[in-house]
Order: sequence, then C-alpha cells, then structure tokens
Amino acid sequence: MLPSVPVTSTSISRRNSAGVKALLAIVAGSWWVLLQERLRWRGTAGYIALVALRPVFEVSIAALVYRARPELLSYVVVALAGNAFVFNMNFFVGEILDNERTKGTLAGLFLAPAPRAAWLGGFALVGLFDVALAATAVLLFGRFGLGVRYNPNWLAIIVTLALFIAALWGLGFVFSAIGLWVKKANSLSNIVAPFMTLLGGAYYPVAQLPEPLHTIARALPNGYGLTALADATLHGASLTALAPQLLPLAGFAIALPIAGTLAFGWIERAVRVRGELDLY
Amino acid sequence: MIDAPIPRAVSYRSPAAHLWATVMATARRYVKTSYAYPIELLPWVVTALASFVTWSVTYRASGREAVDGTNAAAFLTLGMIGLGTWTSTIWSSGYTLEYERSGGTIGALFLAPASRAAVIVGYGLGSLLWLAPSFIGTLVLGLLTGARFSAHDPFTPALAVLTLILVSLATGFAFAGLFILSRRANMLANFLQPPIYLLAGFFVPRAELPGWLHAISNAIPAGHAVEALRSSALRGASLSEIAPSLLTALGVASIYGLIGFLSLRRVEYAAKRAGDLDLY
Repeated sequence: MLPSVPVTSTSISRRNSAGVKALLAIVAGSWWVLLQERLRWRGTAGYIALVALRPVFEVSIAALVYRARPELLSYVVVALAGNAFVFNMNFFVGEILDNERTKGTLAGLFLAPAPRAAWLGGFALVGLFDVALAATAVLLFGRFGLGVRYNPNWLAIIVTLALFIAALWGLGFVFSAIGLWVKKANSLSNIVAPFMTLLGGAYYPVAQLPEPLHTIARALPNGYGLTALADATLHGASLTALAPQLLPLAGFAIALPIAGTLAFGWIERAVRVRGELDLY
Repeated sequence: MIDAPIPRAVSYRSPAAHLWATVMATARRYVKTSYAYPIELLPWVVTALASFVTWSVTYRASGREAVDGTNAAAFLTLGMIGLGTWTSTIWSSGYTLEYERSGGTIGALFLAPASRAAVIVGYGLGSLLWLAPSFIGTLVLGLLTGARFSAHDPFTPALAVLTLILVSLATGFAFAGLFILSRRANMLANFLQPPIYLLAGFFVPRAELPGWLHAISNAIPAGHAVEALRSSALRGASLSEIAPSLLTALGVASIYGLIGFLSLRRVEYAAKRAGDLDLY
C-alpha cells in the first residue's frame, strides 16, 4: 500500500517572494474568487437580504425594548452596526479553513506556492465587504427609521476600527484553527456566538452586565471596541477621551493576531504530522 | 429430514399505522443521527440559555421589569420556548428535503413507498425531542431568575403547547417544499430567523409592533400560539379566553399546510420532468 503523500510546505519564504506586488495580487485574487463564489451561492438579492437586512431586524427588536430609553437606542444602533465585525469574525473568518476543507480545496491552498497570510487575508477581506454592507444598512436604518443622530469623530472611528478589526481577525484565526482541528467549525461558531453577543455589549453597554459576567466581558475586546465606536460615532469622542477603551483594545490588537499566527502554525504542524491534508 | 421453517404470515400495517411508523422511524433516526455528534447539541442549549440572559439584561437595562402584564423573566422564558419551536421549523422540518438532497438520499426518499409529509413531520418531532434539553434548561433558568407562572389549570397551557407544536410542523411542511424549490435553502433559513423573532413576538410583545408590522405578524401562526401560551401560563387565562388565539393559529397554519402540499407536488413534478431527482 502506498503511504500517504508526505506534506511539505511549498509556501514561498520571505526571501524568495516575488515582492509586494505579487503578494497583493494573491490577496486581490483570493478576495475576488471568494466574493464571486458567495454571490453565486446566494444570488445577489439573497446576499444583500442576508447580510444587510438581517441586522436591521435585530436592531428593530432592540429598538422596541429601548423605546423609552433614547440614549440606549442610539447606543444599540451603533453597537449592532459594530457587532457586524464580531458576527463576521465568528461565522466567516472563524470558519475559513474548515470551509475550504469541506470544499476539498484546503490541500490545494496549503500546497500553493503562495504565503498563507496572502490568501487568508484575501478571504478575510471578503468578510469586510459583508460587514460594510451590514453596518451601513444598520446605521442608515438607525438614522432614517429610528431618528438616531450621529456626531462622528472620524479619526477616532478609524483608529478604533483598525484596532478592533486587528483584534477580531486575530481571534477569528484562532477559532478558524480550532474549528479545523475539531472539524466542526460551524458548530464551534454557534457555540461561541451567543457568548460573544451576551458578553460583547452588542445590545447594552457591558457596564450593564451583572457580576461575574461584567468581569468576564472585560477579558474580551468586544466591549472596549463597541463602547469606543459608540462614543466616537454618537458623541464625537476624541482619542484622548477614548483612551480607557483604546489602550486595552490596542493590547488585544497586538496579542490576538500573534495568537492567531501561532494557532495557524500549530494547525499546520498538526497537518504535517498527520501527513494527509485532506483530512484537515 | 429437516422441516422447513413455517413462514410467518405477512401482516401489512393499515395506512394510518404505516404513516405513524414512518413518522416515528424518521424522528428516531433524526435523534440518533444528531447524537452521533454531541458537539451539535451544545449550540442549541448554549444559544437558548445565552439568548435568555442577553434579553434579560437588555430588559433590565431598559428599566422595564414588567412586559406584557407579566415579569420579564416569565415573558422571555415562554418566548424562548417559541423560539425553540421556530428553530425546529426552520432547521428540521423546513430543512428536511435539503438535508436529504445534500446527503445524497433524496432520490431514495422520493422512490420510497412512504409519505413525504410523514418524513417531514418525523424530522420536526425528532428535532423537538433533540431540543428538549434546551427547553428544560430555559425553563429552569427562567425559574431561577424569577419567572412565575400562574395557570388557571394545567390543561389550558398544555393545549397551547400542543398548538404551538402543530403550527410549527405545518409551517415547516410549507418551508420544506419552498426551500428546495428556491435552491437557496441555507440562505432562506438563515434570513428567516430574525424577522420571525420580531414578528412572532418572541422577545417583544406583538402588541408593541407598529400597526403595519402587526398586520404582517398575524400571518405567523407561531405568534398566536405563543400569545395563547403566555396568556394561559402567565396570566391564568381560561380555555375560552385563549380559544380565539388558538383557532387563529390553527387556521393560519392550515394555509401553510396547503402551501406545503402544493409545493411538495411541485417538487415532485419538477423532479419527474427533469428526470433527475438529485437535482431536487
């Protein structure tokens, strides 16, 4: 009986890479291929309905609960728009590797002479497209459907988003590696997502959580990110004013991508030991 | 010389017994298959419990301790039961044919001398059994967080629960055909969740919906059934008081049943015309 084909990494090293241009071409190519696939799978109308309308209904439910608390209504609109990043981290970035495995394309990707980070980054960018659509729909609904007024501090919003996205992508890659390892990424996402909603401050500021949930919530980037986004978008809060949120968020933005890289390295080593990519 | 064994007389089941046997066999298979992967059970339990806490905190943050004439914990407990049956409607009975299609067994199902309707009902009942731990967990959590029930008699809430199950199965029956005809079952199933959470009044009373939305929500049978359940279990309404809601729920559900019957016929017609069952 022939042994399994030993796995060897063909990923190009930094020294042999064809430069930034080639890297960007891989990112763009991966982004385009996956975006097309998603549009074909759901149809354009279905894609928009699922990505943009779904969070609008979530906001509507919260708006009915908060109809006597306008300040919380404003918060929940921005927080649920920001929560689109969390949802995406969970159900998209967190399932990338396992989805490729079930499609039978993971082996090809692992063997492709391209940096893993390039195609992973390209795939993750498709998620940003989803998030932009969802967040825009929620914010427009908040403005014109619920009468929420925004007073954005754009610099603060951009800095917060950059840190929040870095932290969530890092966390998403950790989940993606674990999902691939347990071979049930979607089940894992479904287990994690309710806790992210409960502890993340999507429906209320995390300060409203009772103990010990409040303390646990402080160990996640979500609450810092969503509170900072809400303050920057609704009250024009400056970077200085947001420092208590942004400093911990910056810590997550550094630590979680490192954790994601380590998790990816771990799963790659596990694949090599196993020697059969298709099993992973 | 060895005596030949005397063949047992073949006894055929009556049509009704055959139908029931199909329902029970399908439900049994659903539960057994689902328990093959214990990780699949966790999300349903976790989602129910975490959602309950999330909405409890949301109501607490809003300052509303009483909802729809009862305390928020009790209101949400029964809302979560409604949400559980809706999950079954969408992801089990409604998803029956899609599961068979993706499993490659839909051809065998269509050629089997068994009622497709019985198979769909079997999926629905199986999933309700499968979801039993999440129902029990929600009830226990509700009681622990202050939910108090006040029923006129045990029979009336039990009848409301039975109605909720029946309308759930009827709605799932309609979705089974419609999902497969759309060829976008996963997208539809995912999309249909939040709108129904809003329209069926699982988290917010239907009476609080704006007028035009309230009119649309009348077309959701689960909404009427959950209202009847809340009235009977939380406010001690008698059978005669909840009868209009129960009859409306069953009346609307019968329309869904008719849609299911017609859509299943359409599926069979399309499959026979194409000559390729696996396409559906």
